[in-house]
Amino acid sequence: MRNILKHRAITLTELLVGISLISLVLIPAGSLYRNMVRSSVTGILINDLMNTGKRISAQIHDDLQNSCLPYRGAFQLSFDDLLQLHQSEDAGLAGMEICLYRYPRQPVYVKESHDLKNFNIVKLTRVCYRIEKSENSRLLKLIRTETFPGQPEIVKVLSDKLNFFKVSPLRKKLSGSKEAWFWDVAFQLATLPQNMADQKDPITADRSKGILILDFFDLAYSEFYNSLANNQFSPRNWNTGLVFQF
Amino acid sequence: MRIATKKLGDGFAFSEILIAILLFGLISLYLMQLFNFSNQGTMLVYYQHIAEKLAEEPIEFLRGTGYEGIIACEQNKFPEYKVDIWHSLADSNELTADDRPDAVSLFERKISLSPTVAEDTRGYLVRVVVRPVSTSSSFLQKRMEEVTCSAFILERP
Repeated sequence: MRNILKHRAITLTELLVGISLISLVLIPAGSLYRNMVRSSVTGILINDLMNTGKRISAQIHDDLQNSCLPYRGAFQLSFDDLLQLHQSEDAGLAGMEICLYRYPRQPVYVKESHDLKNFNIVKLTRVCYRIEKSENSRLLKLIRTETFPGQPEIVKVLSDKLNFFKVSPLRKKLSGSKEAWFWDVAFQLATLPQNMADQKDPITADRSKGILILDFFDLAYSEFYNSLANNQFSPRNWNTGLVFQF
Repeated sequence: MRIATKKLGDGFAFSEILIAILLFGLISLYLMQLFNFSNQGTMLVYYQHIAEKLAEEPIEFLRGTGYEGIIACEQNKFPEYKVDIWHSLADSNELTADDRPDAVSLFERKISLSPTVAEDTRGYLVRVVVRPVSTSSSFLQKRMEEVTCSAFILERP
């Protein structure tokens, strides 16, 4: 009987006090853990958006800087001719396509059987940036296609987190009648929580709701256009004698 | 000397629980600060990228305008790209006014042009420095250093 009293079970009060004490410790610990996980996920998402944004920005910059026009003989050149924009007013950004010709990435080797008549003609690469709707998301896909004569088309989805995209021409007057032309590139990448897929309100950054938006911008110019605009009467050479043919 | 001992089976004293909670609170606070610090670090990478782009922009602009443009810039004919003076980027930039993120206003920029001549070739060393403005958040001022970009732009026929 004495033994039973000595090793009695815990009382309800003791149990309740114990649970309360554990709760006192676990509730802040749980909240801390949740914040830590959220913070870590946010960090990973921002890094992911950053890397994607930098890659897209560098790719667009390279394409715009190397942009040019097929040339065979004399022609009137305008800066607007370098980019062809296709956009439906009803669809907004989705369905927009921006196309250009650019110098090829691959080196062009002279072959023994080379047609001397066209010796100074460089085959160009056709590049298009297309924006499409994503499945189950309000964000858009940015797709780049590259076509080089005689080779299969290369299609690459650069991102499926696009929120905004704009390439606009800029003109800066220099002395006299001279002027310089640039492209201003601006785009946004974003991440949204799943429950926002059906909403139609404009997206604004709110970390507490898991909405992250990063802006990217760039200024680029066409070396081809500048060299022609500044040296209008120079004869065509390897750099300015160009062609695009399938 | 009297040494306080505790018998097996005694519960925790109230003061012990308070001390334990205090310690736990302090550790939690430290961990929270650690994660806040890590979050700021991630954002710092983004701000660093913006600062780099702001430093590259005048160089790209001057490359695009050519040697003639650099001379015009040296005479401060482009209000967006003032030379030898720190200017805040919060001021509206006629060239790229609408397409820049708000974060741009956290920085200021200084452009320096040094003429150089080598044999028969003339050129300019363009140096652009971007730093956070004094009114930006303290974390940006403490943790972010100046970003500098330099380039030689030569006079080409």
